[in-house]
Amino acid sequence: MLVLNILQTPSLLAFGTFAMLLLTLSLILFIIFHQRRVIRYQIRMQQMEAEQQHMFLKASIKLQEEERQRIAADLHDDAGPLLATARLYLSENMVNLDKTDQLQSISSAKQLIDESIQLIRNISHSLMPPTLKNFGLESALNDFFQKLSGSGSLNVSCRFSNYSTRLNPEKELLIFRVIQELINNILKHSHSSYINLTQVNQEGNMLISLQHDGEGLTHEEFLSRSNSHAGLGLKNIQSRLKVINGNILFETDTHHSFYRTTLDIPKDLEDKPFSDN
Amino acid sequence: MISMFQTNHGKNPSIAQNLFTLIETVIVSYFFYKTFSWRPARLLTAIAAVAFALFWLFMFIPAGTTAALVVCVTIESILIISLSIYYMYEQVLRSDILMVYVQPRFWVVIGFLFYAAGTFFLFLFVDSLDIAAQKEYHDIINSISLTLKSICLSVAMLMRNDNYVIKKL
Repeated sequence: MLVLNILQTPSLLAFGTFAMLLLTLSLILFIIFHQRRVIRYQIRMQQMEAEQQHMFLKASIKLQEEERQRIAADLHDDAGPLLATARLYLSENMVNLDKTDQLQSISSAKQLIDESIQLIRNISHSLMPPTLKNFGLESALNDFFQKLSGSGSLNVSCRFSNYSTRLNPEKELLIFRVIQELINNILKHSHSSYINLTQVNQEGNMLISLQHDGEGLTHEEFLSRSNSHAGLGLKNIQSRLKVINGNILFETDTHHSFYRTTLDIPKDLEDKPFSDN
Repeated sequence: MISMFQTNHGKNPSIAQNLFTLIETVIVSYFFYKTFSWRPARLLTAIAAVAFALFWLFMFIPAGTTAALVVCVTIESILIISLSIYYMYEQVLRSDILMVYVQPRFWVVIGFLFYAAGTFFLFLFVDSLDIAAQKEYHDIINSISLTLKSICLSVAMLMRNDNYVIKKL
């Protein structure tokens, strides 16, 4: 009864009304501040994404410049002198020489031109491996691993379980470059005794794994390095994978004895079976 | 206005007030029905409005006009508060809205919510107060709630309707 009497007092009415208005005001303020926080978070995410894009772009431009400098150096330092020497052999004075010397000059010039052709072919192959263009990723990687094996200092193996559906050429080239960069890093930094590459298909995706027993990166290290201003190669790997909507995962065992890098590449409708190529 | 006219002429305004409660609830429910984007919520709003109309008929015919008014207004307040809270919840979940308070609809809902929350206890306890206290509290609380509601509705009316501009473009 006492409770009922208290409940029916006018003070409860005043208090209840005040509490309801306060609750309403709190609800409105909560909605407004919550939305503001969400907006601030979204803006920060966009800024971070833009910053990352900027870093990828810079890395990509730097890579292009380095590639151009390398090609320019190859052409200037190797092909240039070879062709200049060949031109010297084939100068106007050659008509004044006797026949034996003329034949000797022509032979030397021919040899130099052959060397220049070989040099230009090598430059061209380094830009776009012919095996990759003509026979696909599997053959190009097998070729690349055979060359690595030829050095004799490293055990390498490359095994594709099923590559009947060839990826589109641009995608193959990007994957090839990513694998080249990863192997380059392994050779430079890991001091491993073997490198093992395997390919499997899984639910519309292609998984390529590279395993080695040297020193490697964990996924956290990869992310921190690729987001820092250092690690140009890692940024290039990320930007290349972004183009093909691929993912990369760095793993290691508990004792850090083995490291595995897995590329997860989605297949498109454009990818064709080998018989169609 | 009708009820004020009836009161001034010594007549009982309960019938007009009861009819106003029904019409107001149905219109407000229709507003929320058009505002909600989730289909089940719209369906529930429609069901709630129909249920309220049936309850109003059930209360209005046998229970007498004043008794029906108190119950119906309390239920109307609960309904409006519930629909307003769901509206807020829906706005929080929507990622396409940058600022909720730039929408006229938000201010309309705030107006409804302020009025329903402010007068909820007034209508709930109106029967347990004596006539003098009823008048005193009614005048104060109703005036404050009505002022808040009017301010919010004015803000909503003064705001530019972006949807209209987009359609025009």
